[in-house]
Amino acid sequence: MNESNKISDEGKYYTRLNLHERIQHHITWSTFFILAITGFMVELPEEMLTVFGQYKENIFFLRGITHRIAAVIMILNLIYQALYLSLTKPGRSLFFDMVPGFKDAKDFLRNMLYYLRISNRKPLFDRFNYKEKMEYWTGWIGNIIITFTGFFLWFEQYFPKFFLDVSILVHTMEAILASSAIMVWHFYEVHLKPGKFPMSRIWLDGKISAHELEEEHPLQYQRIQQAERVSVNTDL
Amino acid sequence: MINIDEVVKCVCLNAEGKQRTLMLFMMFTLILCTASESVAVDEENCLFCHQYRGLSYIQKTGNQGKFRLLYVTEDLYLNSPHGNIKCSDCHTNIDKFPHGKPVKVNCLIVCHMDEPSSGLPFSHQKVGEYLSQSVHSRFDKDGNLKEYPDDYPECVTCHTDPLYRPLAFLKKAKPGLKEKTITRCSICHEEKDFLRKFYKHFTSRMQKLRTPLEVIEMCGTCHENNEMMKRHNMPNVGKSYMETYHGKAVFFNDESAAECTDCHVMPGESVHAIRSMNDPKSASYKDNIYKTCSDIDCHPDAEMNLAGYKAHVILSSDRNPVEFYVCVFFVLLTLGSFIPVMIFTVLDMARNAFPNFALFNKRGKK
Repeated sequence: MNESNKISDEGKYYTRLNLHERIQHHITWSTFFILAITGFMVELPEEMLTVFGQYKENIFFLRGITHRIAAVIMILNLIYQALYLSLTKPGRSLFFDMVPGFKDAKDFLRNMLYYLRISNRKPLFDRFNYKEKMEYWTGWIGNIIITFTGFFLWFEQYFPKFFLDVSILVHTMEAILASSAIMVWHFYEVHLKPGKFPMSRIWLDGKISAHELEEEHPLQYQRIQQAERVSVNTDL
Repeated sequence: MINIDEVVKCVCLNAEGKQRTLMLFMMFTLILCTASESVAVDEENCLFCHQYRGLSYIQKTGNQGKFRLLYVTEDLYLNSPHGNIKCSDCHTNIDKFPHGKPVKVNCLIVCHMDEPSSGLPFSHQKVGEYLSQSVHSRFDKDGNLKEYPDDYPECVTCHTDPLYRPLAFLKKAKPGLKEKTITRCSICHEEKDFLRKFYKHFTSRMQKLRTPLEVIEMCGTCHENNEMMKRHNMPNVGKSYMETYHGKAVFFNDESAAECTDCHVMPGESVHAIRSMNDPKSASYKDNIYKTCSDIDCHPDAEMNLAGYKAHVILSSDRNPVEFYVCVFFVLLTLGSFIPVMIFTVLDMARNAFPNFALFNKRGKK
């Protein structure tokens, strides 16, 4: 980009997550955290739970109730997200920007070449890169799977045995998959990555610095710059 | 009845001089200290010897020795359902000292006591009949001895005295069942020993004899023994059970969670009549499962949908192929996404942390 045409970026921030999206994210991470803890308590070796001593029976009982309450909140949040994506303009914009395309496959290959130092050119990502799209959509798929299997297990008397046999396995394994993906990939991308530690502030105030946007989402940055230049020229 | 003189003579014959004097002194000291209490409740005076904790021997079985403990805990024995039965009622050939070769106790013999409702001599024969129809019988349908007969349980495999639990866990919920209730009986019934025995007899049958966790451990002595289960072409069901919600709840001392006998015994039947899951009369037979689950204490709403439900699935391609392959798919999916993600993350970290690092310096470039 021509430096002379560039509008000064110093101290400039753009909105990456609006209030709706931040609320959805806060509900998601908090309920996910509770669900993971109360869910994996059932899977942990019994010996590890003896630390609760005389309270273990009550804790086990409360575990089940807490898991169900958190699950219901998470499901309501899914409905909230679905309504937001379909009924609001920023929601629809997010949805269409999230749709994966052929460019994402090319970006993935280019990124691998960059990682392996075969190429020194980073791929130019748009608003959402292939990693974010993959995380987002696997999150939706995982949520739907875990919601249905969770309901089968919750109301076991109404469903055929085959659903229950398989649901027990699927619910647990989907939880393991989701938790490991969050802990390894998402935590790295937003907390542990060089330059991000201890955390990106986007999840708190929704703001991304112009510099960060240019680095990570250059195509979106260029579009914004262009729009701003048009706006400045029009004003003049 | 064992004669003390004979015991003393027997001991003294094997000792000499000072040793004999010392042994006699020790023996009389022990008699003075302990015999007075024991004699009152043990009319055959078996506890004269069997009260000592070290009383044991090594029984030779083939090339190996088996440790046999002959010690009897007087308090536990007297408070057990058999506490009012004389030792010789069961140990039938013990009538002299030294005892000679003991005969194995047969729990199905007719006891020297009457069954109060019929007035007939009492026997556990009925229990034996239930057991003979169950999957745990040593004999098959045709009366032939099954393969590995020693693997099948006998009475003492599961029943170890004392068989009752004090009603302690019910105390808070039902104060009427407190052990203190016995004081109400004593208003009319003066004989304290009778009251104690009657109370123990009654309360021991008011509830399950063991906690659910104890039942799991008891059944697990065989069903979690991998070698034994392999001999009978069975999986380790104890392990798969403990992975279920029932298993976890039982581990947390939940008295209401289902243990082995809840699901493998038809409601109203004796626990001795556990049948194979392939037997149409079995509580765990596929068409009966919903009835078992809908037992009023557990899942009253369970319907026909639950028919064939496997409470603890054994993951193997032979037994449960659908569950097995779903599991394989998810394991591959988890590893298939986890490992690449780990690799991408490490590569990303390396590229970001050392942007100018190169394995080989290119010529002409500094």
